[in-house]
Formats: sequence, C-alpha cells, structure tokens
Amino acid sequence: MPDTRPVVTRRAAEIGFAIFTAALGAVVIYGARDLDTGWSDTGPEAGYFPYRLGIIIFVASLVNLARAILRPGAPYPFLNVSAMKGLARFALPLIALIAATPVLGVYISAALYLFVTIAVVAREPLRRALSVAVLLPVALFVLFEFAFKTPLPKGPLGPLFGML
Amino acid sequence: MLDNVTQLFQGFSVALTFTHIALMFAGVMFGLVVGVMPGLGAPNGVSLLLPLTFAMEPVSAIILLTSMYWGALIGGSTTSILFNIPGEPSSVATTFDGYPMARSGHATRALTYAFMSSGFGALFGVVVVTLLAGAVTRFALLFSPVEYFAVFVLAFASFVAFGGSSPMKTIVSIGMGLAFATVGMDTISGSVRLTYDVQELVRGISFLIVVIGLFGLGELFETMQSPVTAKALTTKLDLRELFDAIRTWPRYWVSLLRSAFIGCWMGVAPGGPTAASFMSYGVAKRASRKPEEFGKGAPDGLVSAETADQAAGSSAMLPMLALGLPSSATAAVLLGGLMIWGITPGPTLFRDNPQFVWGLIASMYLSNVVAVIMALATVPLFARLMQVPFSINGPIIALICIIGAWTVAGAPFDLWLLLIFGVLGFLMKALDYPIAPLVLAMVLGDRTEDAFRQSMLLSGGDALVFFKTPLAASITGLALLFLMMPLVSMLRRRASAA
Repeated sequence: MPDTRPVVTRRAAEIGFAIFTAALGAVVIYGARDLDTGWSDTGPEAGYFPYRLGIIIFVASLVNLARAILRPGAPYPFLNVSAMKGLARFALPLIALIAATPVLGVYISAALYLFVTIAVVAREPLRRALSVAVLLPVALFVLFEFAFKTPLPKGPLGPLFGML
Repeated sequence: MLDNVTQLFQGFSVALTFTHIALMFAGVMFGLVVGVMPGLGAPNGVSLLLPLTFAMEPVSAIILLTSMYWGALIGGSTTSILFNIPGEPSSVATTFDGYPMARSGHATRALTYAFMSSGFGALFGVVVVTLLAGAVTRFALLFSPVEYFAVFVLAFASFVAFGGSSPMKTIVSIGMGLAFATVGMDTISGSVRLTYDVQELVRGISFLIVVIGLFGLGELFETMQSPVTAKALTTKLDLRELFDAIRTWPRYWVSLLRSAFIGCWMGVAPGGPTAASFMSYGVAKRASRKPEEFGKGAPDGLVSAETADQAAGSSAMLPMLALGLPSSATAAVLLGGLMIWGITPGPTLFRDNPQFVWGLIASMYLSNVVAVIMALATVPLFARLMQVPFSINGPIIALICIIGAWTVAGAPFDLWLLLIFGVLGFLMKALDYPIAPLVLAMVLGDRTEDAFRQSMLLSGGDALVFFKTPLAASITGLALLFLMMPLVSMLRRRASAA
C-alpha cells in the first residue's frame, strides 16, 4: 500500500518555490550590479538588461509568494512518503552515476548504474539485470565510437582501447 | 506563389538523395521511440540528437532532426490510444476519445484515424509553409531591430495571455530563461556576466542541457514517484479494420479542414501543438451536433486533436525560418541548432541559402508520409516496448539523458547542471510553472537583448522608438494588450463576484 502521509504540503511547496525564484532574482540583481547597469555611448551596458530582468523575476516572485501565503492551500499533499521514497530510489543512483562518469568513464559507470538500479533497486531477476547492464553499454560503445564517431570518456578502460 | 513552387522543386532535388531519405527514416524511427517513451519528449529527443549533428551538413542535420520531430508528434498518439498515457504533452487531447475508442474494441480504427489525421494536418501545414514562405519573408524584410524586439516581446506576451498557466508564474519562467541566457560572455561588451567567479559558467549555460534537464530528467522524476507499468489494450493490428478505417476516414473532412486551419494558426502564431490540439478539440465539441459523445470515443474529437497537433508542428517551421521565432519548445531547440550550425534564421536565409530552406520544406512532404506508414507498421513493436517495467525503462532513459548531456561539451560540470535543471523541471511541472516559455526565452535571450540594445542605439535611448513606425507600434501595442489581458479578466471576475 502506498504511504500517503504528506512530507510537503502543496502550500509549503508553492511558498518554498516562490522564495527560491525570488532569491534567484536577487542573485541576478546582485550579479548585474557588479557590471555597469547604465548607459554608455554604445547603448545599454552589459548589466542593463540582466539588472532589469532580476527586478522582474524578484517582483513577480513576490506576487506568487503573497498568493501562496494568502490563499488557503489545497488540502492534498505535494509529496507523500511513498512518492518521496520513489524519488530517492531514482535520484540517489543517478547522483552516483553523475559523480562516477568523469572518473570511471561512461561505459563502466553505465554498466554499474544499470545493474544497481535494475537488480538492487527494482529487484528484477539477476539474469535480466545482467543482460541489460552488459548489452546496453556494448551497444552504446558501438553506436558512439563507430556510428556517431563521438568518442565518450572510457576511464580506466581508456588505455585498453588505445592499443586496439 | 509560383516562384515558391519552382523553389520547392529545387528543394526536392536536395531532399531526394539516398542519404537524406535514409536520414528521414532514421529520424522518424528515433522520433517514434521518443514519442512513445515517457521522459523522452520531442524537445528532449531533438536536444539529445543535436550534438551528434555538429559535424553534419546543416541541411542533412535539419532533415534528421525535423523528421524526428514528426515521428515524435505522431508516436505520442500510439500510447495515448493504447495506454491512455500521452507520450507527448501535445497528445493529451488524443486520449480523450482515442482511448475510449480503443477500449470499446476499435484500437486499430482509432490508431488509423489518428495517424491519417496527423499526416493530413502535417501536409496541410507544409502546403501553407510552401505558399506563404515568399510573402512572410518579404514582410520580414521590413523588420529592423526595433520590430524584432517588439516581436520577441509579443511572443512572450502571448504565453502570458494564452499559455493557460498563472500569468505571474509564466513571467517568472520567461524571466529565468532570459536570465540563464545572459550567463557567460557578453558578445557586445566582451565582459563576463553572472558567473559569480565560477569558471565553468564563463562559456554560458547550454540550452541543450537545460532542455534535457527540464523535459527529460524532470519528467522522469515525476514518473518515478510511483512507477507503474502500463497495460496495453492490444498489441496487434486488425488488418480488416485498418482498411475499413482508411476508407471511412475522409468522412471527417469538415473536422479535418477546420482543425488544420486552427493548427496552422497556432503554429504560425506562438501557441504550439499542445495549445492547438486542445483548442481544436474544444471547437470540434462545440461545433458538433452530438457533443455528448465527446470523451466517449467520438471519432471527430480524435481526428480534430491529431490534425491540429501535427499541423501546428509543421507550420511552426515558417516563423522559425523566416523570423527566427519559434512557436514551441521543440522549434526553439531546432532554432538553437540552426545557430550552432552557423545558419542565421531570418528573411535573408531564404535568399542566401535556398538549398537549406527548400530542401527542408521538400523533405517535410516526404518525411510526414514516411511517419504515417512507419507509425502504423511499428504499433506492435512499441506496444510491447511500453510493457517493459518502467523500473527498467526509467534508468535506461536517465542514462541516455546523461550521455546526451555529456556529448554537448564533454564537461562534468554540465552533468551536475543537468541534475539541477532536472529538479527544477520536476518542481516547475508539479507547481504549474510553464516550461516551454523558459526554453523559448533561453534560446531567444541573446537576440532579444541584442535587438533591444541596437534599438536603443538607433534611437539614442528613447524607449518610445517602439512606437515610432506603424509596424513597430502595432506589434508593441498588441504585446501590451496581451500583457493586460490577464489583469482585465481578473478585474472582471472580481466585478462579477461582487
């Protein structure tokens, strides 16, 4: 049974995101202030456009924030416990994949990622997980190295292919 | 107009080579996969393939990518009809009547009507592009930076007015897109902007990373909250019903023509396929003598949604090529591609590079026919593919997104950026912040700012320059009117409530 207890309510999520976009607007304003936000002989300076954009984002976000606070939030949750678990099961291996790719290269990290997500996270049969984790990286290798001629990083496998 | 037809025949000589026909088939096939699988929408699919075209001839590259777009638009309806899951946002309206039709045992009929209507809409759109190309480019030649800036503002304003999301949320989306576009080197002054001393940001934020993150990972996050594996109603085609459907399909000619017009209108003016299919469905329901059958498997509803969807997709190529103005997220990605291949969109493109423009237009006639045939032929294949548990399909799609992001610049930093935009896309979608305007703003950002700065330079800093010529004044006026519309309708609601 899915666990439908809320982790975050819709109202809290709306408020949080409006604060985030307002902060983003403020960061843009701050960044533009480092540049010249006025005029020169060649028209508006580099900071002119971003500065005004920052203000627009900031003000519009404040309106969204006010609305989110004033309006009674919808009763349904934005994220419930089981959705949160589903997200974590997907996001954590993905973060590991991103961290591993520059170090181990695309093919090794892809094989590990597929094996972990299919065999460990999704609890599919081992044979199925192994076949996807081996065949897909091999197919990608053939596709990228030969068909697309776009070499991808190979990590520790690199020297091996250098000899081919 | 006759001139256009001559040009079109020259275009066919470009499009009808062995390589280009092979690219059309490959593109449509990729597109069908992308259209069927959740997490791999048309904008995301085109972004994933785009880095691989950097070394190709521009005309070959655009034929491959547009064929993929047609495949994705048409493939989205397969899952809508068989699974009640729209593979593409633009096929949501297809589920309304397509799925009930399939559930009552007429899956083959529904699929055939959908694909034939898609094909009709697409071809209608291409004919419109062919006939209007000359006139639109002549019109576009009148544009100075002042009019260009006004047109860009108009495009953004129409999202605020007609996008369907909260106007203030749409404005935040557009603002974020424009702000992301300013990150990095400023082409006019040469100064580095909004990098906050992060070295990796100096080369700017690639719109490809943004699109793959927002549309690809974002949608995966959404689906992965509760991954369910869909059950297909059927994975087989009934040949007798197929031929019977082809025979009876022309009966819906009124809906077909009306929807094709609506689609082309929404394709040329910013709106895009999703808005077009909803609008066309709504109009069909209102025009119908039996509106109560809509939503229960009315062929008119299915035909109307599909025709407008594809007509909008193909006619969107006209403003994209002639004005550099995309009317949908996918057209925005294609436009970004043009600029990467070193092709400047605009009226001069038709004069300086007719091979490219007419080669593309000619290819659209062929690739859409290819798309209809291949969509029918691959129904059994994709119906099975969809039945692979999503806990397996999901990670595979995520992996493809990561590799796609890597091929953009080969930078580890981009992968983290991809993750950030994935989370952003998930949150935006869940909280009803529209994503397409952000992508549009990002692709148009530099040109919007350039047009603004050039206009200011021309006028010596007088903002009234946007009202100086009749053309600029009418475009700016229309944009302001669009921006006011949500405010007016809000006040009217208040007044009627009081």
